Amino acid sequence: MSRHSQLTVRCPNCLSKIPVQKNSAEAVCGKCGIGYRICWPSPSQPMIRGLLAPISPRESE
Amino acid sequence: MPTALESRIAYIDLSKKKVNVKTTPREWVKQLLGGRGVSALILYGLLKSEVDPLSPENVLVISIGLMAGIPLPSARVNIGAKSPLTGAIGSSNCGGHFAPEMRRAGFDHIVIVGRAEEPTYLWISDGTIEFRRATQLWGLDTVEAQEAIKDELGDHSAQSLVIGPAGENLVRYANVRTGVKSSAGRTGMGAVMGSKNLKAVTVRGSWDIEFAYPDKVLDLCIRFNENLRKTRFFTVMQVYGTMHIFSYTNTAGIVRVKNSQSNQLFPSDNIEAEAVRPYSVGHEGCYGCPIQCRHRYVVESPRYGLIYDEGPEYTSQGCWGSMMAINSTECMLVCNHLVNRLGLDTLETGSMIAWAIEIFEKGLIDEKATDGMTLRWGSPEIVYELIEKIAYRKGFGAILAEGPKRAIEKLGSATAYYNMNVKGMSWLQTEDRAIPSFVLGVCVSTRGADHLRSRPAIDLFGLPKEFLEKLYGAPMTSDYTSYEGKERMVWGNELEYAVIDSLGLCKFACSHFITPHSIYTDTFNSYQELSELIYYVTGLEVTGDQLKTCGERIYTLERMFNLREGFTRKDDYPPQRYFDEPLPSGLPIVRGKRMDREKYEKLLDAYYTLHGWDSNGVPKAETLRRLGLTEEGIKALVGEVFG
Ligand code: SF4
Ligand SMILES: [Zn+2]
Repeated sequence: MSRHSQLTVRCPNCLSKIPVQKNSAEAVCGKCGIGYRICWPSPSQPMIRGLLAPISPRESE
Repeated sequence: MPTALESRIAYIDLSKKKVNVKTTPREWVKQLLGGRGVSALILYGLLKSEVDPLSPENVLVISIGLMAGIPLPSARVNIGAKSPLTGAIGSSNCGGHFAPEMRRAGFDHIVIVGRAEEPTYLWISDGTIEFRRATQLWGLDTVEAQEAIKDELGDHSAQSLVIGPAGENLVRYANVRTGVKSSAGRTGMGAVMGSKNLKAVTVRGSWDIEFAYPDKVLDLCIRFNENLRKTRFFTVMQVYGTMHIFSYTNTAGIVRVKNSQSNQLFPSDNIEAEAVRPYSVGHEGCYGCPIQCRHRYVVESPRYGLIYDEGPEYTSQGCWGSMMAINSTECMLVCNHLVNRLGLDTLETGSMIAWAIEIFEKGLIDEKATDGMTLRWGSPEIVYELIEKIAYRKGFGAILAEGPKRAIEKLGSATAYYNMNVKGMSWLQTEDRAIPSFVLGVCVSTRGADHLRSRPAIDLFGLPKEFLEKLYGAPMTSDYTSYEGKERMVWGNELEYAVIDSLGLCKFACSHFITPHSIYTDTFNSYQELSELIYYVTGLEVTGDQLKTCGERIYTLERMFNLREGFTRKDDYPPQRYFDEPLPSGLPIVRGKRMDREKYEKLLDAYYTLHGWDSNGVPKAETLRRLGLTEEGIKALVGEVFG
């Protein structure tokens, strides 16, 4: 499998790769626990669309 | 037959209705390539300091890139003049189909001085230039005007650069447009055209463009296109255009919200790229580009009826969405349409309106200033109203139409803190105070607050240090919130972008502006590959190192223009807010961040050193000698045409 066909997105917070289930609309970073909404510009390419929920200041500390 | 190396310059005096045609000196091509580079030389050489940008003495330069007409995204045309917004160098480029057509019509550079007695447009076709009456076009919007010109000429393939009502009304940030969507947005070049009574410049050519080694050009272009298609960026741009960037930046918390009071809009689902898909009726793009990055869209608006337009870009998404705290697809699409048609720079317009709402909210202005309007966040109707008022300079709109510096003078010095500008041009729709490389790039940009002169978007990807070191030639951290080594990142990108702009290539398609994937796939982005391309297109041998020096020369020349107009180190700083207020929102990596003044001073020093400028940002004598930019050197270069 080539590097580009892996179903992953990069966490904008910790920059780790997050695996994404095919067609899934959500993904959670295994390292920092932040949840993201996912969209699919193509069936083999997931992309972060936004946050699942706003992060409260307390969580960010 | 036009070639990139044997091109022509037209010098047009609108007051005298005179045209003088010269050949582009080979030395100009070698040292400045074309487009933005040649424009900088002409402006520096022909303009005296302190000329009123809206007077007939200002010089308007329309200059295509050296690569115009090759089968790549190579259609950028640069428009330059002294900026009526900032007083610094004005320079803005756009894509579309104008540049290749201008080369086919026989010219690479058009220099326009004076002021026409009545509204005029220039008709340039197969080596001839005609002054034509434009009173019938005055008042038309940017698309209507192009259509009317095509009808009048009976030629629906003619390409025009036009201004809309905003340019006619001398809004200091009026843009110049071509097609439905392409805009030379920044620095108010539309107001300069308006001040010259110049509604449009229209080109049509039937001449072939000759390449030195056509087969090689084709091979290289095919290779480039194939590589581009392999990148993730290609797919994302084809589907969403630049709007995809918002998904990342709003998620992280690096977008301007409510002017610059916050950095993340939630919820934002209606202004995300995905939200525009239901309105899209296809895609459109520039000459030679396999990406075709913009939506063609249709939207129904209770106020404006059925609207067709193209875009919006990431900038408009931010200006009309997050910056106004409006989570509405319709509002974003309508505002994009209004600024396109009226001929306004979307970014400056959005930023001025956001500032107005914040200072109203803070009680620094009231209804007396705003013609009775109660300004508040989240209201599409208020935004529509203000856009129209600005374009037609009605009431409060006439103040906002003056841009940051003059509007602050009118509304009081207490409002200055809230106006996010550098050198008198508004900050983009992003909130960058967590990212020192972005802040430095925006602050030292020669045309005022701007990302397109250097933005190292690559900084956000957390790439391995070793990789960054290889790319930039010095140690560099992978942490985008760090200051370490970022002067080199900005400097490196400035040189590269000056070259790309002067070749007339699209940054999205040709460099690591947005994506590291182009580097991984060894896509067309190195000076070496560019020099290969230049050789096949023109027959001119320019090494990679010489190309990089061209970038330095262009950047330093623009800097010299600004220094002559009184800009100094003091104009290379972010707004005070960047030092005072920590970011209130966003992911943990950005939340609470603000700029550190001491570290920024050091970054600025290091950046000047890389350019060979002194601690005031003034090029040192040895730098000027090395770049051939001594007063005698420039005089000799300019004298080859205008002696
Ligand atoms: S990527 Fe978009 S802006 Fe660039 S050349 Fe292609 S269509 Fe034009
Ligand atoms: Zn993470």
